[in-house]
Amino acid sequence: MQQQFIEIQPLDLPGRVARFKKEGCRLVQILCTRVEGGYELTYSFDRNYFLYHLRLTVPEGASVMSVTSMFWYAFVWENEIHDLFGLDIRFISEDVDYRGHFFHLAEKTPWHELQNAAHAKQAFKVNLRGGLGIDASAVRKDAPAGTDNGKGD
Amino acid sequence: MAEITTVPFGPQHPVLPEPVHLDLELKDEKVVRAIPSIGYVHRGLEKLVEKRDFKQFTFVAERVCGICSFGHGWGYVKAVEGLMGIEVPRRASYLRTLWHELSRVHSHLLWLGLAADAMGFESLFMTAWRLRETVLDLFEETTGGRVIFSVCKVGGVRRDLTGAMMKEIEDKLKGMRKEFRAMSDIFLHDGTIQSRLAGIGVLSLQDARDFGCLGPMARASGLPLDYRCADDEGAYKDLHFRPVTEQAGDCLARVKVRLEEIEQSIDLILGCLENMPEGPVEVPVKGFPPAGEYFTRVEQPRGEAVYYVKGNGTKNLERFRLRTPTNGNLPGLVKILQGCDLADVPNIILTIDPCISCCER
Amino acid sequence: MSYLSFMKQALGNLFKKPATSPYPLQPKTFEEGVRGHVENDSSRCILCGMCMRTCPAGAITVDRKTGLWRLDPFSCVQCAACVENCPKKCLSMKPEYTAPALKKEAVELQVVLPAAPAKPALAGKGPAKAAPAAPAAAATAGATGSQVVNDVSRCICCGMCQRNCPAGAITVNLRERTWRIDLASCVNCDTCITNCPRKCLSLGSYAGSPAEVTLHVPRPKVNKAPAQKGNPDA
Repeated sequence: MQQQFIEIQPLDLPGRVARFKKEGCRLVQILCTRVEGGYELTYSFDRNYFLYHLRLTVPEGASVMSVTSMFWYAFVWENEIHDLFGLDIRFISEDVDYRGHFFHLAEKTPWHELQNAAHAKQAFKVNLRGGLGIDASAVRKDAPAGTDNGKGD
Repeated sequence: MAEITTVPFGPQHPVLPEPVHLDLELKDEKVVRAIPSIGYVHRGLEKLVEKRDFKQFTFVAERVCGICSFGHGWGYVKAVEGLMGIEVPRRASYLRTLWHELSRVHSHLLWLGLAADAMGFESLFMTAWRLRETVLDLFEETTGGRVIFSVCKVGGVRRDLTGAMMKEIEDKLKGMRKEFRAMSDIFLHDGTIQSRLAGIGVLSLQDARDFGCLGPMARASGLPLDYRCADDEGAYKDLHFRPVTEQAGDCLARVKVRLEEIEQSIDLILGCLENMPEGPVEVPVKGFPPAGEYFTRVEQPRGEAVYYVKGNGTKNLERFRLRTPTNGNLPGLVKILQGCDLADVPNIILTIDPCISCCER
Repeated sequence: MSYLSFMKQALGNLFKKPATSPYPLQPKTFEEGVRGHVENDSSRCILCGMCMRTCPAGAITVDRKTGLWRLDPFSCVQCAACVENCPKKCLSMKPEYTAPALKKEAVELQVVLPAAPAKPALAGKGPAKAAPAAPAAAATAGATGSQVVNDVSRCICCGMCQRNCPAGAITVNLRERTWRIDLASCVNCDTCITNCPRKCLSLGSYAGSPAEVTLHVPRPKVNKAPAQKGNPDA
């Protein structure tokens, strides 16, 4: 799968996106992952089936410029990110800024909380229902020093 | 002077297979603006990766949608295999391609039935779905389930095809083809269908580019966008695949693209069966996904779907993201609804092949 | 362009037999291999709980203390992951779908485990390192038994058994070169045996039926610097 990741700062986003548009790329998707301290955004562009990913980290409380001025159809993902994660995206085109009403949800910004898996340093129980097995492969509290723990294979 | 009236379309509507809501702003009978809103079948499946380990999540990923089920299962395991650096055996790749193309045949036949039903042509709807039953019976025999196959796993596939099964697939598809061509003629030449679909919901080539359209919706406007041209995992590069395009960009062109794709898929399946390599169908997978991330794509029946996984060294992935084709076609839909008649709205919505369960996960 | 293009099909449909079958008057025949419902052969079940851990829907509950194996067929999604992961192959996927019912009822089986040799009280489990080492008695690889034994002459302390153990019964210490198994926690799923790269684990028995066993794994013999030179082993 041919792809390339490019790390940028949030302020460089409009410039980079404009350059991709000029080169004839199409915007494939906008992805948001909640990380400690903020959000990690990935904008993916495709040209001739090669994916370029712009990666930027936005601290909590900050806002990002919308790219709908260059790629109008980004409004779907920008509205979705705003509704699910609570990230503030500024200057979405007037006709497609749904101001939180795009995604009907029972509670606001349900994915705003940090995911458990990001903190998988402690042993945790797989809580499908109470009383199920212990995940012995995470680091165990009573593991003696020197034991080979946590390596992939 | 005409006022703007707002008419709600959906979430419950006889033509919609899944709930989506559109607020249509009308001036007399013409739609001026369409405002979409989704979330009626949002199950938060992307967040479920925190609770199910990466092998169990295959079963969750394939249940994102019932129609495109195999594609989602394949995309997810492809992404995890890319992240872990696993190469599946060639026979497994061919089997996955075969099942995926069968999935495309069943999905397009389902859609053709729905498109006919949207016009009120119920007999044609039943004819299309009766043909689809042949494909569903093949699925039941080869994978054990009619709709959800549970046959992809990280490292390969869980079932193999015997020689007898392969012969049966070939015979049934060849038999189905004759009836399919008879039905296809009706779609292409019937007067009612022509008057309901020709010239409606036109999307020009430039618009298809500007609005990020995918799949048959883009290909019907002349944009040859099909990830199967570049897919290096499936069997497509061995089978000399070319995307199907039309130039008119209206609803009828989208019907033609899907009809042609069914024929093409049957050819691809017969090609897979003929060239099926021997060998194992899985490789053992040890350990957990390492810290890292991976993007992969699959050409679903509705367009290109992008799968993203991010691992963190434990048995649960940190993030899974699925950008589905309907998610990408929504802006195109909003655009082509502008200026159309209210009576054509159901047909136009159906021509993007909306799979809202995919769209909302 | 005709407006009666469907006429031929429509007239044909009047005389063809219907595409549907008169279910439930004519029951559906299922092909072999259809994923319908899960069955458990309780005579072979060892209540290891692997099915419970693998099930993505949480439909199976296993209670070792009361000997109960419980399946909720209305939560089951017929994925057959439990069937694949069962170490004793007592679970199987049968073709018929679960029949519709007015109430959701679970399938409950009582499993009687084969009588294990009498184990001493679990008080010995607390101060783990104080358990007596039983080095020579454990090397009965290949003997019949139901306890996991380690042929330490082949063991390399890689820790794969510890990583794969679903019950957390095995601890491997590379620095101290010890391999310890808590036999009270072991669920006899044989996952460690299957995953051991050196094939040093097998089923056997320990003399005296201890609650846990700690084995010392000797260093592998190397050509240079023989151990008699007085190098400490750890």
